[in-house]
Amino acid sequence: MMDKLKKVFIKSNIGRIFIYAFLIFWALTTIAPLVWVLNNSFKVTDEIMDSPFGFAENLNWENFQVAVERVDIIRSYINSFIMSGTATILVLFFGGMAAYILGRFEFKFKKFFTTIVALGLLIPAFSTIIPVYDLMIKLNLINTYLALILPHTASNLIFAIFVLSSYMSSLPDSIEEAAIVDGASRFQIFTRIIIPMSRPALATVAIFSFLWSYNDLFSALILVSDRSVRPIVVLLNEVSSRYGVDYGLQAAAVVLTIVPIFLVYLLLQDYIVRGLARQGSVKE
Amino acid sequence: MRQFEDDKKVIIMFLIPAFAFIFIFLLYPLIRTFYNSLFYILQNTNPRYVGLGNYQKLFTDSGMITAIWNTLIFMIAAVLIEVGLGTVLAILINFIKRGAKFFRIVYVFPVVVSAAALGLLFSLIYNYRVGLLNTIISWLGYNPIRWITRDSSLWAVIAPVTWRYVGFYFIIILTAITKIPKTLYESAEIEGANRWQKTRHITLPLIFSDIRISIIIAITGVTKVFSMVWIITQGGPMNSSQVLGTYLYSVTFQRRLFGYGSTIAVFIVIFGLLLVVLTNKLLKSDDDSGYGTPGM
Amino acid sequence: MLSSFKKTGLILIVSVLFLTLTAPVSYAVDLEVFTMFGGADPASGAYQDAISEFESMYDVDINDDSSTMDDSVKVRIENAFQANNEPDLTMYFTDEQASPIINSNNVVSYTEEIFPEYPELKDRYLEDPLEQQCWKDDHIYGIPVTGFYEGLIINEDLFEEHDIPLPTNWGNFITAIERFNEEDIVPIGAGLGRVPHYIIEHAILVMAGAEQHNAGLKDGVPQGWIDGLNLIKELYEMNAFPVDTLNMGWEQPREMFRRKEVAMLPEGNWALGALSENYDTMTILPMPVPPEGRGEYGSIIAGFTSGFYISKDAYQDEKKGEMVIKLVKHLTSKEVMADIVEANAGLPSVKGINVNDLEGLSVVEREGVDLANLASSIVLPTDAKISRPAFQEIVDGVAYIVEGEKTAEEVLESAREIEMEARRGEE
Repeated sequence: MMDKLKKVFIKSNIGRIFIYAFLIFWALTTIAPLVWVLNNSFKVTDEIMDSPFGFAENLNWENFQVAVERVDIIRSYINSFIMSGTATILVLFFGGMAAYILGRFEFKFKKFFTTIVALGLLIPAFSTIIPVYDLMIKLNLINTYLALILPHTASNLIFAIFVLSSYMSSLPDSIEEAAIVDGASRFQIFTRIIIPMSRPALATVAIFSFLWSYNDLFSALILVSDRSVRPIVVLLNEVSSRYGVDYGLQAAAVVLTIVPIFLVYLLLQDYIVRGLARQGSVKE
Repeated sequence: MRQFEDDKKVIIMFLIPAFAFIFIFLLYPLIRTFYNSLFYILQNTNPRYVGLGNYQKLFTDSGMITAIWNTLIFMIAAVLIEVGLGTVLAILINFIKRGAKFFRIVYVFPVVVSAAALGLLFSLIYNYRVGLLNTIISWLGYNPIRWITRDSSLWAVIAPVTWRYVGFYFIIILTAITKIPKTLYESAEIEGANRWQKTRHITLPLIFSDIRISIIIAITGVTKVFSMVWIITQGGPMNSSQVLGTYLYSVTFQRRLFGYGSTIAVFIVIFGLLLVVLTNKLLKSDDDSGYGTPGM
Repeated sequence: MLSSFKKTGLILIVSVLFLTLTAPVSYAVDLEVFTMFGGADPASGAYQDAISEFESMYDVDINDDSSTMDDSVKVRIENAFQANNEPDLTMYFTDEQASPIINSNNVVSYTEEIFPEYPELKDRYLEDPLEQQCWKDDHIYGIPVTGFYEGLIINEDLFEEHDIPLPTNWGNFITAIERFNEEDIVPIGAGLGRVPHYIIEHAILVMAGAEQHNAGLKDGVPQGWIDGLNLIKELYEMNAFPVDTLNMGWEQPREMFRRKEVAMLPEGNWALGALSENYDTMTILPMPVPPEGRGEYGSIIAGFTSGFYISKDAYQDEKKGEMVIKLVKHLTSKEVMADIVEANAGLPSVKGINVNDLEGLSVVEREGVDLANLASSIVLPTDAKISRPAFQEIVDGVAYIVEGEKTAEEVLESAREIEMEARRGEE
């Protein structure tokens, strides 16, 4: 009976309809918040409180004007991109290298390194921020880009190594062996074979490393608080204050911080999609 | 894999940069944190040595005990919802042709939007007076409900946090699926396998290690859950939605007890490590009996 | 793909190093300043104007790091002082919260070094505000900005509309609670679960009276504090607070007050600025005292708890030393102070400012200043009396007390233990 049901479910169009229905349902839950935030950014607070889920009656740009006055917005965007971008590139480079070793080699202290990585996943940011702050002061880096780039690189490396080594470990050995026969060095194998083949995983890591670095308000407030270096997320802090609640302004600030990262995301997402197409395992 | 004489050198050279970062900016601060956990430190001034005093306090602190329990429940939900649903969506998307790209893009939206914004959104959804849920309820003709109470608050924060990360694991699993050679599916199709069978016998076994990685990331991720819980409930009412991340924050940043906060941080690391080892053990045995590695 | 990554990577890294290393245009003096006038603070505009004015007067570049206060910013400031990385001039709290700043030994004592050399700076201050800044060692480390006051902010029109007498005594207060409940208006706006601070302060003030309130916890738990917390429970049982008060911070009650869904709001002068659209229909009153209370009607919570700290390094620096004093003089001048008072409805700390001459102040804001000036006694808030973790224990305990899970005695006893532990290191 179960088997029969399963067959009906899977073979028939009903199955397809169910699949689509479920996928669409989930898509609605993920799109709705964005629409909500965007919609509320055009409302004044009273309108939000009166009907938090109704559509804005007219496009009111006032919230954006106020938000833009709070921070040097262009400068902050540039700061964000320099810091999160550099951290992401370092993560891809160094994370890729380490993952290649941990994913595809057997050696004496491997266990030690994998344990370190697992440990790294568990270290709470709240407890390391003060030692990191002291360290940055000693290195005379506080309020420079590096103050944020270095710790962000370290924490994202952990995630990168985890995902990349798992991905790389299951790439077929045959290709690497063929290259060895052709006389390629390890470095050449890494750059010409492993990296291109891991492209989808690298893009995934890039997306999330960038996202986390970009959205990390907490470290930014402590390590790069200076106006000249602070990233765009501090805008979120600048519009929330102990003097008043302004939901409309907060929504506008969120929109302003999302827009650029959204573009980056779509760009990198394209890498994944192209990677998928090239690998050809997913039917487009 | 020992084809080269100088593989040792390669191993060292390739590991050095990444682990230099990790040692300096994660492990060194962790060691400092452990050192601090042996002191009474208020507002980072005048440390007073208390030995293991903070550790003794850990197990009589009712806030801490609640936080541990809540975190465990949270972990189970995270694995089931985040990884489970993420995997289901990733597999389902492989069954369809039209719209796959669209779904791939939109499922990650919640991770793109900052936790602060989502926290605010859910605060408004749960709000007693203007919230979405109570608006619906009053349409249906019922009286408004308090959504965040002592009994419900943990679930009220688990729902949005796990919902947010489904897209993340969806992408991880989807990425993993890309490495499965298309030929495997083709030959299965020739043998007349249906979707279910292909999933069961090809996809799932081949992405098992990635699922395991995802489960570990999900479990360890829960020890760090903070922003959304803080904004929606601040761990309350009466600690009922307190998790380790929020409790650590409140002890360190609200109470400024840096020594005791460090103790909690050390506990989180040890606690998480135990869970990771346990998970690995549980999934390893599954691994050995469950799947071979066809064609690889 | 790798090579393109490599290229972009190199470009980025080089540009980062370039941007990190290149110094901006040089001025004779660069000053680093941190104040609490960041973000949406009502006085941030007045402060920014004062800074630009100063920059146009001297060959100086002010690197202003002012930001909205939250716990992580506070921790950063505390740590900057600990790590010898403090700004040249810092505006920060001068109450109990100042201990990490002052204990860092990185701030100059006005009493010992600055006032003898610049007596005019001392002379411009009113006596009381300056005296309040005295630290435990009788030195002044921070000179005050503007003062604050707290009270019961009232939506007067709601009282008129429903014909309810203003809560000028305890009987009226209780009547108001009962009547507003009948009218489906929330009597008192407060978030007991997250930010019960103002209600704690007021309840302890009226039940304990100024003397017991000021005693703190070091010599035992004063009965008045217990009575104060029990008073909150009593009000809670009368349904005086919003139904979801246990899951509220300060934002929602204030928002509800603005929207006339709440009749009375225990808060401070900083809330007045946020409620500007209600100016014509609101007033501010002292918290009424119950018959069994030890407090005196008209006694209020107020004080000068923020001030300017000068870094020792900056003061001893040849170039910076003079400039930082000039900046302090500028910021505490009558003109700048008047602008700040006008913006935040605070209490002036320097001589020669007549609040009634400030056109920017609304009627209710003047009433607030009068409330403070005419108060029978002025008391600093509870959290200025005890250590940070002990106060947080009380804050967290309120929800348990009103729900009957813990008694006020239990919460205060455990707060006292925390207080004693915090003080152990002091001697």
